[in-house]
Formats: sequence, C-alpha cells, structure tokens
Amino acid sequence: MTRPILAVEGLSKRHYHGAQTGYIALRALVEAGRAEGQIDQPSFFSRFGEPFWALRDISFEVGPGERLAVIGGNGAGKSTLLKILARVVRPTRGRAWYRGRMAAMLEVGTGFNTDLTGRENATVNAAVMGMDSRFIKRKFDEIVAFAELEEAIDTPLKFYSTGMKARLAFSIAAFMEPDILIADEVLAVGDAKFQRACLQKMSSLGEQGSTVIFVSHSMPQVLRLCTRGIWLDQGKVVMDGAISDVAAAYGAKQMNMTGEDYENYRPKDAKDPVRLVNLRALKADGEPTTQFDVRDPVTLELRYEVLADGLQVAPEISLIDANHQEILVTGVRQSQQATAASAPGAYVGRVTVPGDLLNEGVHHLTVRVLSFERHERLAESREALTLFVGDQAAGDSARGDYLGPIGGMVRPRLDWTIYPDPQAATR
Amino acid sequence: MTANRPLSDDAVDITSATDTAFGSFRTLWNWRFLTWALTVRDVKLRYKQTVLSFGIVILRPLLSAVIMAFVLGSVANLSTGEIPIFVFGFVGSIIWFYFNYALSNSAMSLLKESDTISKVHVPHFIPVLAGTFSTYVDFMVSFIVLVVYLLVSGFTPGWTIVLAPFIALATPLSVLAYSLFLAPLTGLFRDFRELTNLILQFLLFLTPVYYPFDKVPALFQPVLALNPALWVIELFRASVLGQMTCDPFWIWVSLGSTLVSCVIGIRFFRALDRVLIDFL
Repeated sequence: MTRPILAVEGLSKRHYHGAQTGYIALRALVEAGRAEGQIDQPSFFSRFGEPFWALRDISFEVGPGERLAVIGGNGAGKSTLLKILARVVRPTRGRAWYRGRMAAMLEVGTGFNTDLTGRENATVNAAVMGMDSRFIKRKFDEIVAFAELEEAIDTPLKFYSTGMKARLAFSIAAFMEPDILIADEVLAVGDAKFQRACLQKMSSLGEQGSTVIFVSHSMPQVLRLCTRGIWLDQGKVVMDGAISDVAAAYGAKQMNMTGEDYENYRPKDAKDPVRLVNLRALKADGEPTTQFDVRDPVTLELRYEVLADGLQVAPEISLIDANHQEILVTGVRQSQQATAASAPGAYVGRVTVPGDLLNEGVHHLTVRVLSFERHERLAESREALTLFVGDQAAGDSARGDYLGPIGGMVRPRLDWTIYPDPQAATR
Repeated sequence: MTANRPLSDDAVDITSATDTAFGSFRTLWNWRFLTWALTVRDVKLRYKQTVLSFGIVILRPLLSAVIMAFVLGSVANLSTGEIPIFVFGFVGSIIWFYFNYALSNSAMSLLKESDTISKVHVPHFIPVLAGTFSTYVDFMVSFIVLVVYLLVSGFTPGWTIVLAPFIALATPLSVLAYSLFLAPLTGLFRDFRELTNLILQFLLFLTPVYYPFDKVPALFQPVLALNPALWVIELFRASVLGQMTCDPFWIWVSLGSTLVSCVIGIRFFRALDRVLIDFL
C-alpha cells in the first residue's frame, strides 16, 4: 500500500459541557494550560462543566486520492474530528498527521466581513487559509469565474445572497489546489447547479490526486463523491469501508431497522398449515445482502414448508417504505402454479424485482403465504427483512446527475424525449 | 497542478502538544501575508461607511492636547521648559493614541477573530500582531497634521523628525508587552475588556505623555520606568522636539522591561492558548 497522506492514531477529545465560571485562579489556569495533554487533570477542568468525550480512540488512515465521507448523527464527533484534522482544535490524546497542503472549509466563508467587497473578502479569506498574494494574483480570475461572480465581485458582501457567499468561499478553497480538502457541509447552502459544480470540482481534485474528506448529511452527495465512508457514533468509529456499504448500514440504522436475514420463523401453533422458514434478498450473482443499488435487480427468496394437505398455496411479498406505505405487492396469481406447489413439503419461491424500479431508501418486506382460493393468510411475517436501496448517483440511474430530493414511491428509469415544438411556429 | 507537485514528506503533526499560538519564527514568516491582509482589512473597515473618520483621527490627539494643556498648564502650572505645553502634549498624544488603540485592538483581537480561529488554523499570534498595525494609518494622518502645524507655527524640527515614523513603527513591541497577556485573557474571560480600558486609563497618567518624565519625583522614577510604553513615547518625542525628558538610563530600563515582558508574555500566551479554543 502507498504511504498514507493522513493518519489518525488513537485520537480522543474531551469537551466540557455547560461552562460554569466562578472563581478561577489565573495561576491554576496557566498551569492547566501547560499541563493539558501531558497529564489528565479533569479535576481542574471540571470547573468549566461536565466533561464528555467527543472522540474516543479513533484510528484510521487515508491514502492519497481517496475521497472519504465522515457520516454520523448530530454529536457523533464528525465536526470535532474535522476540527482536529484542520488543526483548529487540539486532541486530548492520540495523534494525527498529514502531508502536503490542506484546505479546510469547516464553515462557509470563514472571516467574511459584510462591509467588504467580494474581492477584499477573497483576499482575506485566502490569507486566512494560508495563501499569499501570488495566489490571489494568479488565481483570482479563475476563482471569480468559477463562482460566477464577475459582476458582483466589487459589491460589498452584505448585498450577497447566501448562495453567492458559498460560491465565493468554495471557489477559493478549491483553487488552492490542496493535497487534502476538508469540507464540512459546505454544499448545504448552494443551489442545485452550484452543488453539482462543487461536486464536479471535488471529484476532479480527487482525480488529480487530492484527498477529499467530506461531511454531509446528503447521502446522494456522499455516494456520488466519496469512495470510502467512516461512520461515527458517540465518538467512535462504528464502520469504516466502501461508501456504499457504510451509507447503506447508516441508512438502515437511521430508520432504526437492522437488515438481518429473517430465518426460522416458527408459527405459534404447530397445527399451522404453513411454516415460513427463511427470507433472503439476493444480488444478481446470488449473493445474499440487504444493500442494493437502485440500478440492481433485487431477487427475493422465500423458503417455506407446507404442512397441511389439500391446500392451494400462494406466497406473497409486500414492499413497504420507511413511512409504512405499501409500495407494491407481488405474489403467485396463477392457480396452476399455486396448485402445482401445494403438496406437503419444502418449497422455495423466488421473484425478481427489476433494477431501476425501487426508490432510494429503506424497504421493509412483509411475507405471507395465502390460500389461493379464499385468500386466507396461512402464515405471515410482517416487516421480516429490511432492505436498503442506495443510489451511487453515478449518472446512469433514474437520478441522472441530479442530486436533490426526488419524490415518489418508486423510481423507474423512464426515457424522456424532448424536442422543439413543431407547432410553435404556426401559432 | 496538484498531481505534479511532489508531496512533501514533512508530516504535519497534530497532538495535544501542537502549538497553535506561534509555531516558529519560520511559521510566522510564512504567515506574513495574513498579517498584512488583516491589517489592510481593518484599515479599510475603519474608513468604510464613515464620514468623520479623518476628522476624528485628527481631532482626537488635538483636542486631548488642548485640554491637557489647559488642565496641566493653566490649572496645575506645569512647565515643559522652552517647548510650549500644547506642542509638548500634542506630540505625546499622537504617539499615545497609536499605542492606546493598538493595545485595545490587539487585546480584543482573539475575541474579535474567534469565528475565524475556531474554524481555520492560523497561528493565534497573527491577529494579536495584526491588531497593533492597523491604527498606524491613523497615526500617520495625525503625524502629518503635526508636521504641518509645527511648520506653520514657526517651530522648525530637527532632521531627526524623519526618524519619528520609524520609531512609531516600534510601538507594537510595547503594545505586545501588554497584549500578549490581555488578548488570551480577554478571549477566555469577557470582563478583561474592561480591565484593558482601565489599564489604558491608568497608563495615560503613568506614562509621560503630557508631562515631562523628569518632573516625576526621583523616588517614583524607577517604578514608572518599568512601563514598556515609556521608551516609545520618549524616543518619538525626542525625534520630533529634539530633547528627551528623562535620563537615557530609564529608556534602557523601559526597553528591558518590554523585552522581559514580551518573553514572559509569549510563554503566558502559549500556555493560555492551549485551553483558549475550547472555551472561546
């Protein structure tokens, strides 16, 4: 493996909640300042409030050109981690190191002053990011062009919209050509067009060898941009791996569901006519999983045993979304097929939901086995299995290269044709 | 492009011992453009959307000198030798106001830049340093008024007056002797803003701005000479008016006090800086 460009070794950070002042001896403060980090002394700092660990013993390495997403809920430690990497905050314990030039955008337009013009703010902002006057001279026109602020650049910032400020700030950071770009929720404020431009710029930085570390709550953005994900929860690394896996697991957790295979469902009453054995979801290559890409077909496999005689048995599966709306129901509807597999014994029912049909997000599966004629439930397991469908936003799904929210319960890929209105001339 | 630039093998280390206050002299040199940019920004902001700015800059030392000349000259019967008491006070007040505003800016700098330094890595000394420079423009404006006044009133300053702007450029050293302590304390405890104002009020009277140092009883001279502001005021006025009001020995004492205070101040700043960001 190539040498990492950034590494984090046993990093921990202690914060103090609910600052309580009171009398603090100056001398004690100076001594504590000297000692903090070398020795543990919560006794002194506890005067400032309740201690809590924002990060607990975090370790990982990032290679050059990797695009890493840090995901997790509020208070998971994402921002603390980024602040430590950006050298704004010191760790309490452990160590991190990196090589090369780093540009950190923990906030949009750090140090922007509303009374100064865009041009003046750009200079200060670049200086704050550690750049010099040569950078401003060389890159200024490109920065302004990318931010699409040619007309507004000499206007005071108080007349800028939030989006315009974001554009200016992002452009400056992007044109620093950093070896490592750290971005925290920067894209949250821009419009869709600018978000796309930012993601493209970040991707191209990645292709040129820059490492990108990105925090965003937007899974489509993260999936589109990043190759790897680290999921933080309560200051610990829960999962570190390919972004699709991490995003899927995180998404499933967010819905408070675990996508475990449902197995050995035993009916309460031994006299039940049908016993559900196992439900699995399979990828096209037959691998069982609970995480799918929107483009993938999803094969559902239900094993069940028919125990009673003289039935016409028809399995049925419902797909239910996170809001518990039934999206679709699929089942055996041909009497011939139902009759053929009705003698007591073990059966496997398989059905494939085509790719490019399901929406992004969580899908719960409810399985039941019905009597064909009377449509009685012979066996049922509600929300037995949870699938997470993610969109890598690679451009060839129904999402295209759009990254914003899309409504609807399903998302089939339908082809659009757009052409000039031939009747327009005659009207 | 990025890909073509060889990646430095010098790793940047981040531990609990990482110094975010100064780094090294090389670090500070590398950040010189930020010092410049922050100074320029503060100058621009001061003169943006203002009507009186230049007027205030000129009136501040002028009116102070007039009032002090009245109080000390007419009420307290203070004599400043062959130099009119107003001229004496005007020269002093020009450099004093630079010191005064540089100190209050510098002491406030970490609190003022808290949004920046809690989001971007910059050596925290840079804003403290930059705070001492921006009012130099104010100083130059009032200095030009002073020169014009001297020429019009028939007082011909010696050639040493050309040194005056450069002596004033050394004021930040005196300022840092105070602000290295006050800036991190103001960042941690808001009430230190009041303390800075109080210190400045006392210092105005403990520094020979409007009175000659040699009028101070000999008993108190050693104590007052410890003031890091003394040597700047005295040298500046000497360069303009051609005479010092204190024994050169006290200049050395004051200069020594400044350096000692800066050295201790750097250690103090470094120590408090460790806890500053977490509580800013």
